[in-house]
Amino acid sequence: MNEGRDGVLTTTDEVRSSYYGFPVIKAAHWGWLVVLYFFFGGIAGGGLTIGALATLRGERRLARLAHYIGMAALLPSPILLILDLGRPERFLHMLRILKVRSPLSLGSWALTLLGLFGGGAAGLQLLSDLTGKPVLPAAQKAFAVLTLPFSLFLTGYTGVLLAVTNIPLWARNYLLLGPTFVASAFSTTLAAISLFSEKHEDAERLARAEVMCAVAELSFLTAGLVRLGRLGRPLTSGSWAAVFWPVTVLAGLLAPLGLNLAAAGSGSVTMRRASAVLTLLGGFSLRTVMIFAGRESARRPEDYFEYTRKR
Amino acid sequence: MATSKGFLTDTSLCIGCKACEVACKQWNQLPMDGVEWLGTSYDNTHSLGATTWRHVTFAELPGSGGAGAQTNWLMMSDVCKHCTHAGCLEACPTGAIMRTEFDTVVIQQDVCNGCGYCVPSCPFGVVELDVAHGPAPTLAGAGHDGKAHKCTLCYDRLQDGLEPACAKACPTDSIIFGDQDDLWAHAEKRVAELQGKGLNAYHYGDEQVGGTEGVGRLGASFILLDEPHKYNLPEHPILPQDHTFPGLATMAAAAVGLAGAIAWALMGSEE
Repeated sequence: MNEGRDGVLTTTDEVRSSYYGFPVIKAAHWGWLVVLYFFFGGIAGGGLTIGALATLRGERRLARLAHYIGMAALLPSPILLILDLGRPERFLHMLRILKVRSPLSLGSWALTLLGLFGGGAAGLQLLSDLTGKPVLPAAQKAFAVLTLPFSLFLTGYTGVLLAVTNIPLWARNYLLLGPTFVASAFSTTLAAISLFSEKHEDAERLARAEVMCAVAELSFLTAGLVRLGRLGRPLTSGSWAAVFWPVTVLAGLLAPLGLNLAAAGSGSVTMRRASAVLTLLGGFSLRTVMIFAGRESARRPEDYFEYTRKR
Repeated sequence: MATSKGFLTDTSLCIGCKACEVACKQWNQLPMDGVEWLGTSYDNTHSLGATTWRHVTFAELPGSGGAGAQTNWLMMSDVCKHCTHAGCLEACPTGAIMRTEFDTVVIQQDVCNGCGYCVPSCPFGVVELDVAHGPAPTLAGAGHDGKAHKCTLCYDRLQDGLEPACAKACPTDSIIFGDQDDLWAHAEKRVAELQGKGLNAYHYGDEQVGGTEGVGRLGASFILLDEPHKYNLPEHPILPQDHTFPGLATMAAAAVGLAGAIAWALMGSEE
């Protein structure tokens, strides 16, 4: 086995199965700015969705919390995306056209319109809280309806964005990556809401919702890994496995699920708070490992040749 | 109305002189990428990128039979494929990547804002963002512009009735430029000729033979003498955007379903 510069292999096997082990495709440059956007964008979508639904159902307490959390997560989102551009000063070029088969084009418009409608909804919420009475309730309901399609879109479109590329780790899982991100977005949103929620009677309902999302997320993630098979190795046994298994899966998904179920019996506030913190940590780590393991997936010619094999 | 133009790169004629790489760099005023001896045959360019739009690959394939056995030395000048259905073009959210009157794919540099989505969307790993990748030296004053770059099929030369720089420079006419229909007819004849000589030649880029399906006919196609992966080409490239609607459908179903379940859990009948 001869190893040339930078680990480039020059054995007969390596040359026979690929071109000197050189990557075939190129990874996206996305790093921490995009990881942060994925995390905040999911909570923005989840928060403004729950806020809109709560407004329509007349649940004032929940509407307030959800709207504020949603807006707090929405505000840094465009800034993160603009900073990630190679030419940030040209960010408005995203709105020159709409390309319905490009998740990035759809997302740019969704984020813009969510800022408009969700901002309107949150603004009315703020005015209502400052004046102590509902301001323009009919308008609040209208904004809620207008917000929903875009807030729902934001919870999971980033998963579809990753999947509509050639990176095997993402692309082979194109049917389940979106749902996985949806479940994680709602989990992290509910965790944030429960950390700020003060009423005891809400805690049990929040925990019920959180358990449902955790089960959904675990199911989508597992099914996705099964579907990926060996193309999932950058995540499950590559350099990011050391974060994926202990942080994303154990601490971020299984532990909060267990804590929530245990707290259902004991009613322990500490357990619920711990579960919420771990869920937020897990949600952030999911996006981290997914992005960075994707880079590793792009570097493996054998994975790409498997993905593009003639069937 | 101009006809569809393209390249046909016949690897059976390539002598690995790299005149195409040099001509391309010279005409497009592209900076050097640094000098690194990679130890992979005569290929020290590594891959196509933001500042390398022609890349000659040299695959030394040792024959069986031990020392002295015939080696197969595959040489190919790699380039942007100018796909009929281009992953980069369909991904681009600013409309910077467009199809020209020659049916080629070109990135308008005054529109691109460097989002980088075209990069993982190319099934051949062609397009790249011009950003710093580490301590590789560039010409003094030639900083990085943060935008996406790739072969333009010498759009500026085509508009003046000239052929692309690489095709002009190629001493063996391994790279030929012309109307895509003419190139297709030429490839068919040439492949038959090579097969007649006992070579495993085939036309890579033809939807029918070997096939590229999702990306359609390749504007820049190749006559290859061995399996695609030996040239670092995918056997069956996939157009990523064929997955957009199915992916959005499952995502929307999950979003609506979970939102409904959460609404039931949080706001259900008890009050």
